[in-house]
Amino acid sequence: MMKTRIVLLALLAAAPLWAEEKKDALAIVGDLKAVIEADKPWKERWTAYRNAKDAVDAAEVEFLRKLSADQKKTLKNQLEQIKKDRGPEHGDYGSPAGKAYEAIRKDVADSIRRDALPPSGWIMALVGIVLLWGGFAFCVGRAVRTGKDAAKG
Amino acid sequence: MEQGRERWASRPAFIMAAVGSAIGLGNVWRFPGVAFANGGGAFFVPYFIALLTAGIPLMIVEYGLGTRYQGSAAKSYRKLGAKYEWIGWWAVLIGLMISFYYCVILAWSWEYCWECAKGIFSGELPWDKGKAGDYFDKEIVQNTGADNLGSFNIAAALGLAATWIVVYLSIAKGVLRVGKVVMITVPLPLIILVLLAVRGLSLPGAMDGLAYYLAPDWAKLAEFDTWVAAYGQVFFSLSVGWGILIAYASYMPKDSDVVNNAYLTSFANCGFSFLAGFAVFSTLGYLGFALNQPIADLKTTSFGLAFTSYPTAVENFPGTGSFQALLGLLFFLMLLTLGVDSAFSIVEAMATAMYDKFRMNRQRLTQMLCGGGFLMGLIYCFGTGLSWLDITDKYLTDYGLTMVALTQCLLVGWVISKSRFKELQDEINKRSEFRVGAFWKWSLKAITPLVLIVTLWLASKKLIAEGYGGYPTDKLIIFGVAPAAIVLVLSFVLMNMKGAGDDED
Repeated sequence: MMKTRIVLLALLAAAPLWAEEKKDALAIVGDLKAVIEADKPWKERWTAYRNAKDAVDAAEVEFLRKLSADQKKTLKNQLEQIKKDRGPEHGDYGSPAGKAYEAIRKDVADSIRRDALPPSGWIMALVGIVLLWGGFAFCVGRAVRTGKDAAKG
Repeated sequence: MEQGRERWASRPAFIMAAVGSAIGLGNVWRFPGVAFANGGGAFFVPYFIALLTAGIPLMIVEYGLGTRYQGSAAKSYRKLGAKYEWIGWWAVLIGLMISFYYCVILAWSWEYCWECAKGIFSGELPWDKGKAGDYFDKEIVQNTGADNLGSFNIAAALGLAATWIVVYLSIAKGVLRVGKVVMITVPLPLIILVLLAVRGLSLPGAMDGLAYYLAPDWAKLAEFDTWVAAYGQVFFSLSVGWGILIAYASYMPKDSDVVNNAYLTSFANCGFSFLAGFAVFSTLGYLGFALNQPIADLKTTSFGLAFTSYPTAVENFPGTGSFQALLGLLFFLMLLTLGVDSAFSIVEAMATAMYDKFRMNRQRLTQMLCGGGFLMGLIYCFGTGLSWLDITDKYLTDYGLTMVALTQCLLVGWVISKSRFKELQDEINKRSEFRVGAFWKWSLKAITPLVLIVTLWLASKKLIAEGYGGYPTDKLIIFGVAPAAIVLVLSFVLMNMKGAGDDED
């Protein structure tokens, strides 16, 4: 199966052959860009980014589904050519939309990095450990106290 | 006859074996990714509720059936009613078919272990920098897609042979040997996981990774899909519906504490998954930092996590090539030890069912199952194996196991008589420290079946609308629908066969 990210970037960079999907993808990137530029809190930027990614993934599934075997082959060749011309998966694919996408992606990454783990994350870590490992320890304690053992019956 | 039944050496041996069966590759490569995609820290709310309302109640039923009827899944269901025996066979046959390809995944882990071990001495990782994904695809799997058979992968076949030999040696002498093996295969991956988590957490970017894993997105709790994902994760990770827990519990005496055993197993399994998230996401955080990429863009689940993202992180770890290879070895050794006790528990469930019914020589039976499993696994050693495996797995786990669990709930909750249900409940309560009552009963009767029906419905809707993985329909039928149908037919065939064990009931 073709890699989602490569397909997305190729979609953005490719010829107007699949104009409709290209338009959709550009609209999604545009929406995301607006959220970033409005300088919303990191959680909103992150959520917008994840929503955009989900939407793009769904669009891609639909896009690939509609392609004939020949079109898939053509796309595959184009991807190979793009990769050859412009480097590996994470490189700059040249088109304005591709560049915009790359810039946004880095911006989101940086903004999340700045915020690191919020206090609510620490609380959830503690809750998870206490409930699961604490629950396990409690049950072990009860089992030891009753002293029931399979070998003894 | 029950007086002659083999017994676990101790209660901890049984718990360790059940925990070893439940903890598998999915705990490392599925749970953290599912949590991340479904609200991060907020996901623990539906997950814990799913554990209490579905996972543990179903596990109590399986343990209860095994200890009460002192038999495999097939035998226990036969004792519930002769016409229900097929449900037990259905469960263990699905498991057996899964073991055919599950062991191939372990074979790949053997290859990685071997190559990383060599790398410790040579100071070089087996894959080129930035090419871990290609190495997996081209060198390890030699992937040729669904349509092209490709060449036979001898290294994978050797790894497969090694896996089946370990499985055979672990179960050939019965549960006493199993009890000894799990004393190594359960704590070892936990120790390695803690080491990898400590290593991951000490790297730059680790906290960013943990933010993805733990920062709660409460809005997700309002989404239906989040709840379905939580229940699905609980079902797939606790080994319910496989017939394994019934078989393992049948080697416990009748007066075992069923309920506390179910809590112990479930908490250990889920606690391991939770810890795995720390190791995985701290490492992914570092990888995102090293590659200057958002973590959402990295592969966070399944094969992509284990064989692409993690190896890429390993090659970016600070330290010499030998040290990186050592960390790679530890990671794949953890996968191997996590998987091997799950694999032999699946085969043990089938062996117990066959033994209980046909009273065959136990060692000969294990040889037959392991030899057959190895031969069946060879078909996944061709270049196309990964695609076939992916399709078969989709149908057997998403549909087969879910349907077994649903049938089990409906049978115990609604079909058997009230007095039968009461007998089972009383038997469970007789020696259990925590008693089960109305909450357990309605979890089984209503909550669990409802969730399973919704899960099946959603999965079917998606499959019909989108297909699966872009595979052609004929391949989905041959490698997905056909195996699922074959096991169902076989379960009825086995039920109708006469065995020496039938007369002993």
